[in-house]
Amino acid sequence: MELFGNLGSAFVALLDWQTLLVMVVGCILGILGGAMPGISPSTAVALLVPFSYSMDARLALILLVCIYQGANYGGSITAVLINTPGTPAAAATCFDGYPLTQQGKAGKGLGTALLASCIGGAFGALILIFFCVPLARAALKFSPAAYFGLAIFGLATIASMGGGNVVKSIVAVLLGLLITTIGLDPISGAYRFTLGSDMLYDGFAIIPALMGLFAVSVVFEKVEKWTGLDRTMDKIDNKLLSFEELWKIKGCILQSSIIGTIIGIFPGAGGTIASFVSYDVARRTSKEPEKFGKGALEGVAASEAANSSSVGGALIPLLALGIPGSATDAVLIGAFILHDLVPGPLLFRDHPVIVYGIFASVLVANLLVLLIGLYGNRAFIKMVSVSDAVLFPFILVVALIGTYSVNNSLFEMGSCIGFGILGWILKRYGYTNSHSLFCRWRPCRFSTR
Amino acid sequence: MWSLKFFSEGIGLMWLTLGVLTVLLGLGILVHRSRMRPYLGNILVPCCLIALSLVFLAFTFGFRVEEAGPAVIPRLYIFLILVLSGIILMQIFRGKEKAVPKIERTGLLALVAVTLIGYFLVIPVMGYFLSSFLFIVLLLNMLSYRKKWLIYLIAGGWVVFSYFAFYKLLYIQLPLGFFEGLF
Repeated sequence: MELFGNLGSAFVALLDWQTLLVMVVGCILGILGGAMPGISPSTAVALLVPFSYSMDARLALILLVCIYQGANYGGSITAVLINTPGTPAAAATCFDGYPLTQQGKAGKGLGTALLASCIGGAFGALILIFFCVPLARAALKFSPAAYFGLAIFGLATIASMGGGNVVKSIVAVLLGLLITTIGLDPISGAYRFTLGSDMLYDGFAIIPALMGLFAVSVVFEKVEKWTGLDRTMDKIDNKLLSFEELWKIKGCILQSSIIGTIIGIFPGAGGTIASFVSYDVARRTSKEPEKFGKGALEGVAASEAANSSSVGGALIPLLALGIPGSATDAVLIGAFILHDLVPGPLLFRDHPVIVYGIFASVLVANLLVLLIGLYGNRAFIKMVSVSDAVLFPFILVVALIGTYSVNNSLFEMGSCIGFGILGWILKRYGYTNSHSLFCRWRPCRFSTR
Repeated sequence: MWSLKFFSEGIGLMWLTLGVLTVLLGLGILVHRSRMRPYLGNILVPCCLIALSLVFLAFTFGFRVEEAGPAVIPRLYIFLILVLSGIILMQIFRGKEKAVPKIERTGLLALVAVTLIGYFLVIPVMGYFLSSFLFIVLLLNMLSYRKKWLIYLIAGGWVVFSYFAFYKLLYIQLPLGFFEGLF
């Protein structure tokens, strides 16, 4: 009953014009960010984190969660139209989405992606709401030893996110932890590795690391493979899928939403794996598997429902245990810390307004994405046609001014560039997916708590 | 312990850093000339991590000595990085690691990186607005953006936007360089 009471209050709070505006802006920015192949959901969220600093914590987190949800749909726009997934999680959408465009049915492809995304996202949000609270309640009974175990589990799962060579991922985690030790030792009060510089007394701040690892390094990565070719998008037909067509794929959407949510719950798995697994399961269980890869609506729906539902799933370990379920969740941890909040079971006890605000906003964000997508797809298509040559300088200047604006510090701006270069090198040589290195702030917060 | 503390500060630390850099450079040249050349990056990264760990380790000898003191946790991480980097090197030399392909656009990447660092360095001198304008113009030219007139419009647009949004609206004290006092 307490859950429904809190949730009801959170929904009422969402009706405030400021909150609604923040949500609409978040969804639009998320869709745009997701649709641009240079920007992943984690980059989109990371770029906005410093600008949320001056906002109220609840509004800031609602904004970031809406960006996260919107970006998961946005990735499908370029996947369907130009066979280039806007986000890694939309890669499986290309298999059937682009053939639909080639057949002149781009509207149906986008419509399927939009509906499946929103239904899947809403399903994930419902599971988040009803699963997260009991899990957090159980976690509140954890002893210090259990917390230590949880911290180790968190680090281990973050190391496993890197994929490939686990040893390298662990080294990246350790490097992150070593960087954390720079500055004042909270126990002995001694200064470590500061080189006598007062700028390092508090160690490296979270925003420069966030911006460097998730935004600047992405630009280096893209420039390394720069082809100079611009994206071109043809005009699309406006014919969405009919109710009959939607009814035909309802089972596929539900099945993929379940798969996406479950995979999302496992830290490290994320939307990309969810969409590929769902696509494969949908193909195997379909009555017309021969149509897959040739423009099957089921294929688009499976991938999109799964990657959007994984958002709710991935937020479960983040909110209930403080363990990031995906790279974007790792960025969200940064946002929590920036607002002096620690994600985990205590958040439910100390800041229920924020937790239930996030729950309600994840659910409502799907409705907003649906409305914005239905009426704004044509505008988004025009906007995402912007050349990468324009996009990259903007990512850099936004990342740098965002970093500077938090503390008016040029040192932090320089650190951001340093982290960008470090993140690019480590990622290039298979050490990390950035979040491995970024996890360094977690144990620090555990110890201070 | 005295001799180890020597490397934790001042001239000792400088010698250690120089020594480590020299070894890294030598190693790089050696690998570059050997049959392991395609693995140059693969080898250099763990070597750099080992070098960095050694420098950090040297620092810890200057910390206050006490049980469970400030040196314990960093040393634990350093020790693990050293061991695991060694394992990575072994994996490379035993052929269990694939060589990372060469950077496709080395020149462009280096130019972008240098421009970014240059941008950061000139901000305190030229001010945020002028340096940002020049940075965007330079980067768009480097990335061969075709619509030349639009380059200046985009860069100017950003300057105007950042002036009103960040400087005027959000009161962020952006560095003004030699324009200080003008705004």
